[in-house]
Amino acid sequence: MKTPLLTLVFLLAAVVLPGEDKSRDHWSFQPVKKPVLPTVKNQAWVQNPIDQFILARLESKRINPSAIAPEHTLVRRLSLDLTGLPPEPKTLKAFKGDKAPNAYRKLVKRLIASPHYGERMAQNWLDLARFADTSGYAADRTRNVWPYRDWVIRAFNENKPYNQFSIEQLAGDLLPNATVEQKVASAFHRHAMQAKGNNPRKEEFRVKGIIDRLQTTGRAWLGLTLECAECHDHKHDPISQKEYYQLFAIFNNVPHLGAGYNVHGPRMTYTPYSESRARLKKQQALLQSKLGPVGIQKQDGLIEEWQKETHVKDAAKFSLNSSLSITADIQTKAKIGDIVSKYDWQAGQRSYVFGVGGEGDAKAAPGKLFAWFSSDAATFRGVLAYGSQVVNDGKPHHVAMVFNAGKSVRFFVDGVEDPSVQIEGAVPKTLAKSSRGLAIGVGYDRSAVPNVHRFQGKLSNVRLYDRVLGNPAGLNELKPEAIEYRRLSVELSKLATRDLEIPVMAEQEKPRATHIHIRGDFNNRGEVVRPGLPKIFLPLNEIPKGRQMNRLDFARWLFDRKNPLTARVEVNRIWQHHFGAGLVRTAADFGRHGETPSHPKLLDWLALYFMESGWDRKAIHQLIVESATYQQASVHRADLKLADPENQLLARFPRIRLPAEQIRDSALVVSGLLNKRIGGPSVFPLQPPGLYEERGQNTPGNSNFTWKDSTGPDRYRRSLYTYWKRMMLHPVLSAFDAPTRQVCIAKRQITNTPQQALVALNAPMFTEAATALVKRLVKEGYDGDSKKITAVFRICLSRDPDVRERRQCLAFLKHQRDQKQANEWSALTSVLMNLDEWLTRE
Amino acid sequence: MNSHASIGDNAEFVTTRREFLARTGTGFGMMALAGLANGEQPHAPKSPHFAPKAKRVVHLFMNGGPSQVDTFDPKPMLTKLHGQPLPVKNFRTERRTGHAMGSPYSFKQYGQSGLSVSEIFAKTAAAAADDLCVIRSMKAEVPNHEPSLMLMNCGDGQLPRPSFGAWVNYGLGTMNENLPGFIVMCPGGYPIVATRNWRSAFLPGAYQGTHLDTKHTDVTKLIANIRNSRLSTSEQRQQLDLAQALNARHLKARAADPELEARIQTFELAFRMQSEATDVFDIKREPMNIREAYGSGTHGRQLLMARRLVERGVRFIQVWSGKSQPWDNHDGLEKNHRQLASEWDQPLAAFLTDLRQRGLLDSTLVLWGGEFGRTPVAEYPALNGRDHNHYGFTCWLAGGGTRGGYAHGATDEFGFRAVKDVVHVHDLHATMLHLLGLDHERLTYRHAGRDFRLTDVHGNVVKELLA
Repeated sequence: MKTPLLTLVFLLAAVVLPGEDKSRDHWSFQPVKKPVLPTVKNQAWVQNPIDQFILARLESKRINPSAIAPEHTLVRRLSLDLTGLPPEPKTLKAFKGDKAPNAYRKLVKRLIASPHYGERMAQNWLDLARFADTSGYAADRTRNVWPYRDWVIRAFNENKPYNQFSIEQLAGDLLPNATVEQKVASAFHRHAMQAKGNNPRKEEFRVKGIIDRLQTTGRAWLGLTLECAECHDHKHDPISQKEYYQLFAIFNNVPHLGAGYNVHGPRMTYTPYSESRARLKKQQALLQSKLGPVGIQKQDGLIEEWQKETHVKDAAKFSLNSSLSITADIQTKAKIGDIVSKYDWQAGQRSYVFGVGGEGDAKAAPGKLFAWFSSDAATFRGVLAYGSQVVNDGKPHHVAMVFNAGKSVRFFVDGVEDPSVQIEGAVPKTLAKSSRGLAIGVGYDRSAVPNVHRFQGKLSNVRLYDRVLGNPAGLNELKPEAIEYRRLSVELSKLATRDLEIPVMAEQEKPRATHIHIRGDFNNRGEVVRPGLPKIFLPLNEIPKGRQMNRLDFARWLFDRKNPLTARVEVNRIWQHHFGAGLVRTAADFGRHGETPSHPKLLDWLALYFMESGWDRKAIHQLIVESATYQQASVHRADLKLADPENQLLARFPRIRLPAEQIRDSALVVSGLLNKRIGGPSVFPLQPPGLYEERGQNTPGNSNFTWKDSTGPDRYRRSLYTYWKRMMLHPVLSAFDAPTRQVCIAKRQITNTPQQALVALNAPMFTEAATALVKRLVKEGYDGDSKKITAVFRICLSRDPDVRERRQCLAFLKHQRDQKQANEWSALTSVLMNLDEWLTRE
Repeated sequence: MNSHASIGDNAEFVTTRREFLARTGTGFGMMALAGLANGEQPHAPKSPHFAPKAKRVVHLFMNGGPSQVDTFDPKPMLTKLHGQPLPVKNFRTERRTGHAMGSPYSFKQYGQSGLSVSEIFAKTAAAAADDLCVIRSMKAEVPNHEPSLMLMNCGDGQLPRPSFGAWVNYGLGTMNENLPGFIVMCPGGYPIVATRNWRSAFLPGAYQGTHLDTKHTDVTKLIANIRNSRLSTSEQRQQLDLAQALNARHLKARAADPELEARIQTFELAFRMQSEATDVFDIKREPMNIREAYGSGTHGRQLLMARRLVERGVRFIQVWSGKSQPWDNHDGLEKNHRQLASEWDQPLAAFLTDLRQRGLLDSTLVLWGGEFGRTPVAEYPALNGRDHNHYGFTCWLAGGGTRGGYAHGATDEFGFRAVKDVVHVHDLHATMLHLLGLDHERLTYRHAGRDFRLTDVHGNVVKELLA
């Protein structure tokens, strides 16, 4: 068995003959047609066209829709659906107090505009993108993919049109003048599981990665089980094996595992995006223009000045053995490059080096200042200094290094001292005298590779001083701009994160030849095929002659208005997000084996609306949540048990148990513990100690990774930021059915197990939240059991307790106290966080 | 407890310590449960249709599909034809197959019955050949894992039907309120199609299997959060009673919401598990000689837990070979089957012996087998692996009123297709239900206006398998 869905082939073999033309008549391959809005009797119920389609079906079956849900239920429903967080009591109060006729719409708009909207929507997309922090398989190593996750969140919040959103993920690297962010988006297709480098079956695993790309692309955009055609013609959808390999060819040109079998594949250096950083940088640039040029004045103690790269032979003149300073004007984009070095590795002649990015030194950050000084020429004995400011942004910078013998090494960028230089080793009192000359920007004097670490870019005004300079740039530090500039630099350095090597897509210049794999065996190569689309879809016209179809062509074709699937598949998933099941219940399979839509005309109407809106997903969400269909109560009705046991007609709203992330996030919200920071590296919320060790997930050679519970605010981040380890997912998340994301998931399973109850009752994370909620009640000034009970119901359930519930809670507190239970209140808050009403979106 | 009154309806939340003890003492801490809309206690013990032989089932699932001709169905003809084409055309299976592949293992006769078993299960055979009721003529429907797993576990290859374990619990109820009635052990994670293998589907949620990842050796990880660090049991009982009273009240306002009912039952079960689960899964409580007999491997641990669960009245226990599909040896069969069998052989021998010595084997129905078997011909073009085979394969039963030391039915002379006394998976289910005192045609559940059965409209009790 290669893929789960292959199975169906055999089940259906008897029903649908291969190649039978009937499959072309299948509903989902037909063009999206504008349906006529059905007429309904109960016009008063209708809020928007969605309701006409839903109500028409109900009226034809003589079923009445349900009444509108109570206000608190609606606010909870909206808040959880659109932001993934339960509402605060004040939100509900404001809504109830808002008597404007458009109060509901105002709330919807506010929630859709919330930055937490992007977090909630990203959660669904990350399941499709099989996004995880590790590579999967036994080795299961960490990879830097979180910038992609943050890209997804931002894209949702900015409401990036779905076509742009998709094209950037499928082929961001191929876009003309691709931006850094577009390349980050292309990481989408680098999330496939990847075996470790020493796996002998490298080609097999490379092929598996491409099969995964096709499977994911098929499920996510086309709603097709393309993978069924890996070994033979698709038995129920009109996709031949040859056509499968034509699609395969489109994704087969990544230099991943190419010559030399570099398992890491194409990567990109990435400076994590930070809004604060961008803001500070902008302010600093403004100030810099006011400060004027820095470093013009020469200072006392100047030995020599150079205006370009050169090699200075006079060893004696520059053999300084005590304090010295170097200043220079640089402009570079290179990660590594020496400015001045007096060093010969082969001859064992060490003295000092000053430059950018170190010498491939493991701790040196590319693009930041670096220096070392040795008191011994033969073996290194001295100090290494690592700067914290990026200087390789391609802009001109004045840089300076001040070596104070026996005391310190300091860096200055544009006249401002780097406030957090990392120092390793002891600062030597004297420097070794190297008999070598001085290299100015030309790299090492002699080494295995000549001129290694040569400075690339513009280098001028390189000045060597024989003493400590107090103000190497000659900046007037009394000017208010200078003081502000310095402050901003300090702020920036606090934000400084290390650059990351992140996986992205790239295209080989010379495409790989793609063969049909006979019976799916990558070693059994058949006919050569060229990239192309299955015949069932319209031909691609716009490819210029003389080149093959590539990923970008494919991505654009997905959004051709004539493509019948892309829009339907996405609006169906948005529907599924709100109603628990799509109009097509098999969200990842719109083929002949998938289910047929419950409301085909509504699906088409939505798909068309979506395309005409410019692929605006926020608009679809808004339309759905503003419908009367969505606003119905979720109470079960006896009359529906027989008439519509699966609730496909939607005469009531479905109650759905919250996804794993929302259960934990809700606990963080009500307890007041939630840290609302958006984005950043993955975090490590509390999990039972020794979990990785017991499962061998911490062993060198395998994931080589030890879980350390985050401390401080990172412990309380939204669950979406949890380090997502495929082979050992965080137990709270896995207990509530969060997928390991080894493959693309279009719809999660929802189970109900005793282990879930044990998590909610006993897991340390939940008992901690229960205690914090009690503290919150005190902090917010609630006094006395009765007032606190009201408050805790409002916080947890967005409603007041009724008389009986209040009495039950009071009795509970009394009994706990009778038993000398000191934590009676946290025992009660814990109960609230275990109620079905709390675990469920009603 | 027939009244529909819940705590909430009793006007006051009253739970004194004495009352608490009284209620748990009599096994009824489920007052809130009585408030369920349909008044049903899903776990309450129920009478079977007729006197049962077996009270419980242990299903040892060799997922991936073990090869019958290398384990319990010897075929000398294959060895003769090794490396040559079969005289008849190969049946169509999932992949392309080639020439005959003789078993790399030798077979020997065991016990008084003289049952012929492969060397890779020598210990099991030596310990229990005369207890085994080997069905050599099993038949499924398609040569693919997913539908075959679904067929074996849920009686239908494609439609979302309840699992066997869920049906048995529905039919018989529980014998121990403190443990789930259907426990699924699978080391390392989930088999293919995951939780669908033990789902309750349209049966009440309380009947679904509870999965444990038996790769964990530490009980506190096997069932995480089994203890509350702050509350005593009685305090937590109060806590749960309040939660259940509030839940029941909410349920009442929402008509019969089956999911909410299921949640109430699950919380009750979770609370009850706290009293017994750490004990039952803690095999360190077993004497050293027993632990040594089962061995220190994962399966030894699983089977020892299974025996402890059997003793405590768990109705249906399913033990898997491992996540994904370990027995799916398309290549490297000789090495891999030997390895897999060696992990099972000693624990199996110990398990069957242990059950017999404790007098539990008679009332415990053990099923060993995969979702299908493997082809007697090798996967093309090599000669070291076998493809899936649903045309004919082997399962065995032991205990629970089955006929020991007996081999039922037969495959053709190559072991490809069941030809004599063919037993379809539906027949196996019907027979096992019969041993449990249930008539498979009368064990029905009404859903969406129709009565459903585990065996759908199929299945015959195979009388020859009964002792």
